[in-house]
Amino acid sequence: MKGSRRVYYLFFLPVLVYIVVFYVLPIATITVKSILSEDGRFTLANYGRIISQPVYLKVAYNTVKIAAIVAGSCLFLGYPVAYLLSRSQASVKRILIFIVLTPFFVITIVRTFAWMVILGLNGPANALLAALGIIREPLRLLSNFFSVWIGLTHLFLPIMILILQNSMEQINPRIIQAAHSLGAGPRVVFWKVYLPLTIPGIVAGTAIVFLLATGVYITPSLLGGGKEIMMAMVIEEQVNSLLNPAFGSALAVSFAVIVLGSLFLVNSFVDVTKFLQGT
Amino acid sequence: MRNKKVIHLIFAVLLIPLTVIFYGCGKEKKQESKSLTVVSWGGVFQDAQREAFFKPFAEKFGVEVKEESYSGEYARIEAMVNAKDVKWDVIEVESNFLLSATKKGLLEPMDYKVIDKSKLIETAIHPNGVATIVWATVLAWNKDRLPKGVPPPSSWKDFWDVNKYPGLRGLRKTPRVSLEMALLVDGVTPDKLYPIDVERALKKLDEIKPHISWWTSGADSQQKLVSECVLTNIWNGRAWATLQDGKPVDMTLNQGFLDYDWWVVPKGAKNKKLAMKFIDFASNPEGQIAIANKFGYGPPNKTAFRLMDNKTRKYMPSDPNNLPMLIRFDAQWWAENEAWITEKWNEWLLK
Repeated sequence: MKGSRRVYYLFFLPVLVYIVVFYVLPIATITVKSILSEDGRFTLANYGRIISQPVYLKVAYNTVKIAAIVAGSCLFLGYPVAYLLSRSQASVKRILIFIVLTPFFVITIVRTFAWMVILGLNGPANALLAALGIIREPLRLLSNFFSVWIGLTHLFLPIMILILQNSMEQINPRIIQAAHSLGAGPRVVFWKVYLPLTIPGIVAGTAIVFLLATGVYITPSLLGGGKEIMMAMVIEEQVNSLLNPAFGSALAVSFAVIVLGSLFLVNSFVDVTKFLQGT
Repeated sequence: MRNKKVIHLIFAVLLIPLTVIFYGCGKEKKQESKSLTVVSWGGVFQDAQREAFFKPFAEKFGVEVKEESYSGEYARIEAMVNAKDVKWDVIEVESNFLLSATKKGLLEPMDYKVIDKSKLIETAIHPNGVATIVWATVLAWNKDRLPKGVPPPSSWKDFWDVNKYPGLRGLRKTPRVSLEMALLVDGVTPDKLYPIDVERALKKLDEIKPHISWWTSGADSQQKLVSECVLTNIWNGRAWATLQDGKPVDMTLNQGFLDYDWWVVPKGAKNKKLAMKFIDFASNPEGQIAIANKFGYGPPNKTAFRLMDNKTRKYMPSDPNNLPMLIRFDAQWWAENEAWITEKWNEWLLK
């Protein structure tokens, strides 16, 4: 029996090879590149420059802030939808999931251009607001935080919904029934029983959307104004426009450390396993 | 027995990528010497280049022209040269790459025994590159959004005049040209622009910051000029394309900033000799006129203008009649200073 177990571990081998070749190696290359000078000697000059120039810390803060707001809005908007999905019958659910996933059929850049048209000064959004008599002069909906926020929330909402739905469906309905039969009102059941049970999904969804949102490039560069500079844009600028891949690599490594470090911190504060044990 | 089968299966799966890699390597060696790989910016631009340069060249010299497209990922070229695995023979690049790649030794020198210098304008010749288009960042406007009775704008001063021309102004989200524009409006003469006084330029840009609608790509600038801006800075070819589309726009070449795109040959290119022949061929007037008519980018060939109609010539940055009103964009200065300016610029943007 033990022998056959060992063989099953071999199934991990292709994944392992894949991860090493396409994940570990590139990250190692980038890290090495960031600490080498042009003539190939060890240097920390790139990191020194990141620390001494406040602009990079500002961009990092900006990126984390935008990503956090987007993750929060996806959670807020996605939670009721996921709840509806988890409670509906199979036939309805199939249609709902199709609707949730539809945005995935269109590539990011096309979706982003669509938002540019919709939110433009003479676009449909302004036309609608004017027709409803809410505004007289067209509003600037594009090239600011608002358009980046809309674009990114639209981009990541489906991911949040699917993760939440998955965690909601794992809840044993008898626990809810038990709470009801013990005399808890709907509000109490939700806040004291249902919501705590979905916390693993909330944490996982928020963390994944947050991580993905820290790395976005197309959406903020097309929908953002001057202030919505995010890390990926600065890195791209270094690699492609300024032809300084070493400095771009240093930025990428530093930012990855910041983001993963902060996630690690959050994880140690909010102990997911504790919530799981509570059930 | 079952275990063995599983192991075989895993090995089989692992062998697939290996086979692909080996097959790829084998194919590499069989490459014929009578072919040339040309890389340009894709899209409708490369479609036109195919008709103007690639097909006629292939026919005339009996060779195969392979094409690839990129969007300015210069890091790829550097990686290719450093890995000594150069798959591209001729690449169309911008001035900043020509200069920094020259400094880094990434390019083959142009063979001016093969390429006939005499048919090109002087500024189109570089030891490591030959210009293929002469373009300019110019002032364009949307005629429908100009206030009634006000004459069309004529210089960057009008770009700053939000009372005379109220509305959004499109500006490319880069310090290049933006800083030069600001200094000109602030009273600096074109010959004193460089070295750029960055603080002064940013201070002048503060005045119009709330009225700016930033653009990042060429398509973006066209879209914004049509849909929301009254004025914009724009690549003349993009303004030309918008004009050809029948949109109510126009432009002036006055105070436009002149720049070039270049053919270069990366160091270690496999078909160097053929590449030089191609660059010479692409410097002839016929193909360049076709590109100019379609895209509004000026031909670097000296004689091409004589074969063009006056309406088109009016918009050609390299036309001798237009050159005096254009301003030289100092790509060399930018190549040396862009790193620290970009930091200042991003900081200014975030403010």
